Amino acid sequence: MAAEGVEVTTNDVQQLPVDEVAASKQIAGEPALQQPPGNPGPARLAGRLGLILPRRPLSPAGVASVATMSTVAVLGLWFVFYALVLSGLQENHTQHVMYSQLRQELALATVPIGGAIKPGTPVGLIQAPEIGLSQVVVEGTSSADLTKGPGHLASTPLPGQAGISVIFGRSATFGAPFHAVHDLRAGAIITVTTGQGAFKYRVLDVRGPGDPLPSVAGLGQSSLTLETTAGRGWRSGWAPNEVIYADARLVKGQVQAAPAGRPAYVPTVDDPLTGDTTDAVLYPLILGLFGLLLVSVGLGYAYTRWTLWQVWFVGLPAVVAMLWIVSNMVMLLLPNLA
Amino acid sequence: MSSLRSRRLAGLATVAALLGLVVGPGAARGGAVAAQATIASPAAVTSAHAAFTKTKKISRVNLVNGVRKVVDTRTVSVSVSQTQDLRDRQNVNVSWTGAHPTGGIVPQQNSSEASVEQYPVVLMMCRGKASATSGKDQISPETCWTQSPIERTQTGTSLPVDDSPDFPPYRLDLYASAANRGADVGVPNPLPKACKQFAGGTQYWVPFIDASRHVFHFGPQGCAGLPPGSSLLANPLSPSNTTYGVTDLRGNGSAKFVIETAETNAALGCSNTVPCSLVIIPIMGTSCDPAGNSLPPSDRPPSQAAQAAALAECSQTGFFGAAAPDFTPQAITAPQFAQILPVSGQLWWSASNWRNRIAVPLTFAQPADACQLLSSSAPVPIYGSYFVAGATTQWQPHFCLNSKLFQLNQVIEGEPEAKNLLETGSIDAAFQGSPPQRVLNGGGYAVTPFPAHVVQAPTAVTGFAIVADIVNQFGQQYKETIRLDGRLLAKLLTESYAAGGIGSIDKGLQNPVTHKPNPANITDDPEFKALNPGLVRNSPGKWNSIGDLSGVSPSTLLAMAGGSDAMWALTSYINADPEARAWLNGKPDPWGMVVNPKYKDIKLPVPSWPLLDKFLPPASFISNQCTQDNPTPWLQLVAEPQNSISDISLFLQFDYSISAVNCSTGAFPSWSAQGQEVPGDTFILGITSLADAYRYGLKTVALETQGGSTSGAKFTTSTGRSFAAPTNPSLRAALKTMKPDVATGSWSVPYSAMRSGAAGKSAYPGTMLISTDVPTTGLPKNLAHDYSEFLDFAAGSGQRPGLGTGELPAGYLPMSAANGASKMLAYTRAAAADVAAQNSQVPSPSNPQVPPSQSPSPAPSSGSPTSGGQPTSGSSSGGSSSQSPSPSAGASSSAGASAPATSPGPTSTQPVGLTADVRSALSGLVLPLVLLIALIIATGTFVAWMLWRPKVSK
Repeated sequence: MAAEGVEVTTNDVQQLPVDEVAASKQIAGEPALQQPPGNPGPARLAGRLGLILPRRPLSPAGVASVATMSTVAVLGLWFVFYALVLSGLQENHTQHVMYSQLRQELALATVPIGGAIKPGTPVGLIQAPEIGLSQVVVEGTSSADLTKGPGHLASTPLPGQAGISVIFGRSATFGAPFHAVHDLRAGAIITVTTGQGAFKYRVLDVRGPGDPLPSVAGLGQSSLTLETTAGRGWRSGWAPNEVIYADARLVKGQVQAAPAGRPAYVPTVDDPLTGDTTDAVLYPLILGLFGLLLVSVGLGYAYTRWTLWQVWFVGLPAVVAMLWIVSNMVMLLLPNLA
Repeated sequence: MSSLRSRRLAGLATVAALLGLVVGPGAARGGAVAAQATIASPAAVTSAHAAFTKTKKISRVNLVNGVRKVVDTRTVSVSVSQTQDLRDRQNVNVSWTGAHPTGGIVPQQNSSEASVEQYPVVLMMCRGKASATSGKDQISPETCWTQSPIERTQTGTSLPVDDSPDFPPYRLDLYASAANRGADVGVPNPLPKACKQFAGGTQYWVPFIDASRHVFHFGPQGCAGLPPGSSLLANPLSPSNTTYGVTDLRGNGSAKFVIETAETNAALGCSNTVPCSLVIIPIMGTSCDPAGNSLPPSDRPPSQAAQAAALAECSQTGFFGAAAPDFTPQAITAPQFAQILPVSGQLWWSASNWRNRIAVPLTFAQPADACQLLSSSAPVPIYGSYFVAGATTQWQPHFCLNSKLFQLNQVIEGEPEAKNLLETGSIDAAFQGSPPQRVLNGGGYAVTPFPAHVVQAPTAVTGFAIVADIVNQFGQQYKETIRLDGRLLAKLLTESYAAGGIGSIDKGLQNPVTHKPNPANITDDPEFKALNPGLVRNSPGKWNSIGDLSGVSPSTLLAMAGGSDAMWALTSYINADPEARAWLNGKPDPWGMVVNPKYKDIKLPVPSWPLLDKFLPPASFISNQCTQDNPTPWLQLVAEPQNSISDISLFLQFDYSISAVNCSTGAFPSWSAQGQEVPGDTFILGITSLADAYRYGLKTVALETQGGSTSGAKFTTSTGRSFAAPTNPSLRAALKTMKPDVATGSWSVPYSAMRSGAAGKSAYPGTMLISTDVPTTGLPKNLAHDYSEFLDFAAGSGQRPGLGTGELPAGYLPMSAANGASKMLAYTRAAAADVAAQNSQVPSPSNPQVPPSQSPSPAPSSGSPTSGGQPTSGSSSGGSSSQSPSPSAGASSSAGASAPATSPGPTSTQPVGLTADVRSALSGLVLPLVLLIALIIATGTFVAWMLWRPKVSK
């Protein structure tokens, strides 16, 4: 290897990236550096495959556009990855924290059982062993509340109280706690534990659009409806678009009295399949985007001063954190039951 | 731990309070007395009770110089419209002939200041039996109710002559006992401290003994104690029922008298266990005995001069002598005049007036809380319509006092709300006036079928009543029936009358072409004048004249806020009128009045009337503390719809204008009601139930049934238009036009079809069929059995007209075959069977069939009715009364048990409802799209990167 024969004229401190070195060597007519035998470079591969085009150099505009495109692609892939995988990790962690909190509050009997409850407060635990469901239920059904786990619709009574209690849950993102609800069969038992005790509900049916409604319960009885989304065909599991319901009737447990003060209606952000496009989400989103921009610019600047490894070491967590925050906000804009 | 307990206790207390609130108003619609039933014929209720009449000869006699001189003698006969089975706040009409004409008329005859009238006919309620002449049940002035002290206290102010003590007329009363002719009668000893300032002179106090034998002395200005319900004000918020009736020059007169039981007047305490009477005292004036020969000297005028003076005062005859002067309005209605005490109503208790009394015995229906006190079982609730509450009030005791039955309880609620609750399963039974209404996508509402498994069983035929409360300057209700057409009702509802004259400022209430403002109220509307030429304005001498109408009440219709099937019926009626519909769509009426632009093209019918006008009046129109602190749209203040329909009835009964256009200042300036309107200035229109109109004696309006045109031509009479007031015949005619609608599962009033053809001409368009909605699946067995019994009762003996327990009061047309309700009765019976069996079936209104597998236990499911019009062969309606002994059982065929073996018909297997299709394209596409785009871009970038290289600078 005639490495010493190569004169790399560099006036600045920066070291050229390795491939540029190789490229310059190619222009200089020398074989590329460090090409292990049997492993042709990408250009050689493209050449072998007959895909070589005239190797015109890209203008800076071309470079910029390629860089932008690749960034967009990466962001898109990141978003999908976040939605389907990382959000689940987030929800899992939240559930873990809320479970300890709920256990403690149940023991101290400080779990809210009625009236106006602050959204996001854990109000109970829902379990359905048949589909492997065991989640802490929070109060409120907006997108933000449902990122923590299943949410209880505030205008309905709590499980165990007279009337129809409705619980929303996501089926694709943020841990997808209700992804298996459509697998529930009539007769399955769902247990809900609230501050007023443990109540067992038997599933009557699972219904989608156009399916008949269940029979009307009598006055003073307690029913439970789980509401989530599902998709057919290629959509199932990750792109649900229609709302399905699972209805259950109380079979074990005494119907409890409900304290007064339950809201008669909920704000629109708590309706099924609505995203939260209010200022409560948009302002943090804009701030998050600014933060992302700042971090990117900062990293770009750091790239001119630091080595690549340093940039990656500092930049990766910063970028991932900002991306995580921004993706979380963007997910809140999307329909709450998905 | 303690917080959980306290939280649980608070929760239980709240639930108990809520249940109490639910049960209370329902049970407050009490029951009827059990044992009266003197009604023989099923004719209309008002004629079933014979009016009470009595005649008495009364006279005024002066004893002068030992000679009895008859001043005046008359034969008075009185007639009271109803004296049995009376309910609280019920209105009875009292009329009389042969009385002395009244002078110094005070328009507000219920107020205490009306007591100064000369020769009034005093009507008051007293505790005691009319027939008792002694003992504790005897009626005396001490057990008669008056609201204010001036009606029972006199602090004599006669004209003293030479320092002698006073001898006002009541002290010279010929028929008074010696004790009652003393100086201080009825004054407690020791004198209460507050009364010391009034001491001196001759005083006469009539104490009041309440139901628990507690004595209230009243005293001047109430200084010695007032019972609850009394008032020192001239026109208190809750007026007394003591009425000072006015007699005209011919000696005839009439008055409305409001019966008050212990529910309203606890101090008097009349109820079905405490006997009371209506005492009518035609005032003839004090019979004078100035000499007082049988009295101790201190009770006689000391000197001849004093005697003469006292006699002169006592024998005054007021504005009328034995021969009445010419009729002059000023003499009749002079508001400020010196009271002529001897002939004034204030001396009703004086012996010479008291002996002329006519005591009318009264009996009362069972009080409202009878069911609560007597029945201990849990209430079976039915939520909904106020319009059937009149009937359930009388039906309730039938159920709760029968130990084999249950405690029926109606919870008054708007019908759309009740139907909603039934659909969501929160309640088990509801009363409705029409099948459920749902909002359509493009606006407007449509009637939709109930989710199946819910029967809609016809229970009562009644209607809404538009009531006109018009009182002339003499305190008389306007006698002619007011006529309204759909366009006039539309004008009232759509806030199109420029109340208070706001038309000159609000451009929306002006004709866009001529800029002429809309009339200020309905009496200025030429259309109203054309239909009601008899209503005269501003003619003080005429008895039927009304005054200037300074208030805003004639600009609006007092209606219910919130959802109501009556509003649905009213707006359906307006919508079916082409004249009204064209006007609502913007076409001006022949005189140029336009619809309020906020209501233009409004889609009707609606279950709840929206208040859409938001015009805020400028300071030039009205400026006070309220417009500054609390600016509110003016026309909404005028409209002031009410949450409770019983309040509407109350305001119409007592001439109370609830339009909140007065600003009550104080700590918190707030808009307050106009208040009670003065006779001559009273014109209030409102919508209430027909049962209330009968009970409280409200005057109903005749609605246009056919006629009118959209041509735009002016008219001055009502030729070519026909009207129908709500009476039994017009309800019957409407019932005959109602057709079953299989789509909705109930009957509907064919508003459009009624506008043409002979059948609709005399049919009352405000007819409403009240039905009971009960699901036939999912109910516990006992509850289903109870509701089924109620339905059987409603289709059977509940339709018997009368005022007794379990009977149908006035305001409801009995459902019978003669009235054309045979299919409805058959449906209700079939529905009762389905509800009892809980078999998820619902009868079809066009062909109601009793379910085949029905065990013949309590439900008298008498089989197949006439289907399609041809009579069932072999059905003899004779012997079917084995279960329900009702004479009007309709087409109940005695072949009931065997008939239903025929085809059971297609049992409706419609689902309860279908799950709504709630979709989101966003959630279904976001992730796939993002992924797809990202992959495409990634691939493209990868390819680009692999094929090109960035430019390198050497």
